[in-house]
Amino acid sequence: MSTDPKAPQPLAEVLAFRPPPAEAESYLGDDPAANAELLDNLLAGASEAAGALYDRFAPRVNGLVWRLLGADGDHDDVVQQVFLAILQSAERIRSPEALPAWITQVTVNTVRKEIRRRQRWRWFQAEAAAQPTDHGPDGEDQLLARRFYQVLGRMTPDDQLALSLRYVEGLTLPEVAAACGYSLATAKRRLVRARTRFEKRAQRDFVLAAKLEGWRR
Amino acid sequence: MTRDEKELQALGQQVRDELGEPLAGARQVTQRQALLARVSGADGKAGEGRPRVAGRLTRGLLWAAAGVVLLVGVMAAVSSLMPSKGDRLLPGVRGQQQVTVHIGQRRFRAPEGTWIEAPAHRKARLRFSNNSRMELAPGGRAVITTLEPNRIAVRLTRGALDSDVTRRRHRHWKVSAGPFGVQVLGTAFGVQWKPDSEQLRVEVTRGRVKVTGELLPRGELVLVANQRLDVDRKRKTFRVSLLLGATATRVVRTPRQGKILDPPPNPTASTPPLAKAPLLGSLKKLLSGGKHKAAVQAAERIGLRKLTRTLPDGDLWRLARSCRFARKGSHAVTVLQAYRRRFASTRHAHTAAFLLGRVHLEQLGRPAKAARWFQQYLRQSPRGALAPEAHGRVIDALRRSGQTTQARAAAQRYLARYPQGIYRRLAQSVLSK
Repeated sequence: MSTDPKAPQPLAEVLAFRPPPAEAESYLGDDPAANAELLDNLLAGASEAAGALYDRFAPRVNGLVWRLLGADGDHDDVVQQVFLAILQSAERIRSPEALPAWITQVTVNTVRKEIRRRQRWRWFQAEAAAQPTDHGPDGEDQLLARRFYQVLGRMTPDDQLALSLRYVEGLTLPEVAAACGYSLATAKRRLVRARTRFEKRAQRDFVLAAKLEGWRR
Repeated sequence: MTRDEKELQALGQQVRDELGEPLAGARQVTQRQALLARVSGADGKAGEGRPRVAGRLTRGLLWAAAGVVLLVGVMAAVSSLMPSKGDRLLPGVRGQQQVTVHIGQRRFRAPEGTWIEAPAHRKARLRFSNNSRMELAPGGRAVITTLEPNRIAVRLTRGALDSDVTRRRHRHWKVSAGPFGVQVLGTAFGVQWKPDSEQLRVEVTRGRVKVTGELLPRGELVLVANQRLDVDRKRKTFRVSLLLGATATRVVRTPRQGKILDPPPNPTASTPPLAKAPLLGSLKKLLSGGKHKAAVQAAERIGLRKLTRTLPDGDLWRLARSCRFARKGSHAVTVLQAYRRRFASTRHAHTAAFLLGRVHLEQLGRPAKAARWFQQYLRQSPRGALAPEAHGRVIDALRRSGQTTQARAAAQRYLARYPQGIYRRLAQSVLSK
């Protein structure tokens, strides 16, 4: 994505996409007045609501899905599922202030379902146990990320999410708990367990093992 | 923070750097367009989610379930591809329904979404690939809304439509007219709809049909052969009568063929015993669970008027929503008006005015009233979140109610305020006329 705001944009992009607001806070969807307006539109079934929802939360949802699934090939499908789930459950949002947190939760839940779905399908593949996951980054310059998500892919969905949210997404413990719908104590316990399991598996991967060893020294 | 945690944090940071950012501009445009197409149903998948698979089954059970699903799937696929005895497939996709429209000597294929308008002095004949036939009376207007192998729906917007439908198991036929629907249960029947006077007439000469809509007992009524149903929405009356003179095998040609006998002998119109009135708690559960039809039925049993006086803010709002989604327009109006009276100071009270406009326009076919409600919303919330939408809908409502001068004025105001708004084309077309 171009970082220069003055760089010319393709015409189709200019026509189809409203530029994000200038204020970073509003861009992240934390502006209560704008959230109230958006929620009104969603509840009233206004025809522009879906577009407005996307314009407002696309960066947040995309970033989260991208880092939870690891630059996945089905990224766009999953993002679409997230937005559809939000639209379908809009009436359960109690107040505009809860909208950003709700969106994070729906995103995490949708990704969890997606991971479970993939794991179920791997049961039907004869050599699934020996195979790495069928998703994740594949560029030559993403070796570490690829290995990381391969190891992560062999863990339970809850462990995967807890680790990604905490260490890749960089959330604090209370934020991880809120995003996953856990209590703080459960989140702590789950993270400790996930970390232990990850380190055990990472020792069998020479790239990750070397990296972790290097940091230890 | 422990040493292990620091290592993982460093690893996570490096992974994050390698991944980069997902959203290039072009990708965002594609995502947005795909989402809007999905939401509006333009890609034919509106409302669909990913297929849901059962929760945690044991591996053996899952294999067994998968085997059964596979077997059933294969059988269903084979059965849907096998044409029935009566089917005469036209060239095209195997198993796909096709319609040919004949108007005089002219003949053309009509895909899904085709509007058909019979000339003033000629009928339009629709022939389906399974030998079913429909006839649109001169001056009539209809649209083929669904044309799928197992589901065919036609919406009659004006005039009379006679049908002779070859029924097949698992194939659903539906003719809708205004707020009413006629589900075909294997039959020859005629539907007449007068949008101006809001009168519906259904005559059945063979088989059975199920008519759904407002005013009917419990929202639906089954008609059998030689019965006629007349519904007058303005007078809020309906009448079932015997249709004499109609032969058992012929398509009803004209609506004046039969004589009306009163009182109506209708064996299916008897009201079934009322279910035990549900408790308020179960109504609330239905409302918050989004079970709209069931919620409205439960509310009807408890008493809608009583509920509009007693329900708290959130529940009353949800009840209004359920009435709208269940397409119970008159109920929605009752509840929304009660909401505005009781909770005039809340944020939703103004939105209720907007919603009243939508219900009048979309469900009750009262554009003049709809325009007044949209204008009411704009008076109360001139800068409200729904103001652009309300301005646009005012034009539409005024245009539909025949108030051309006011519609033009509204269109001018709209274009001045929202030159790039989504109703600009409507406004421009109103002004160009």
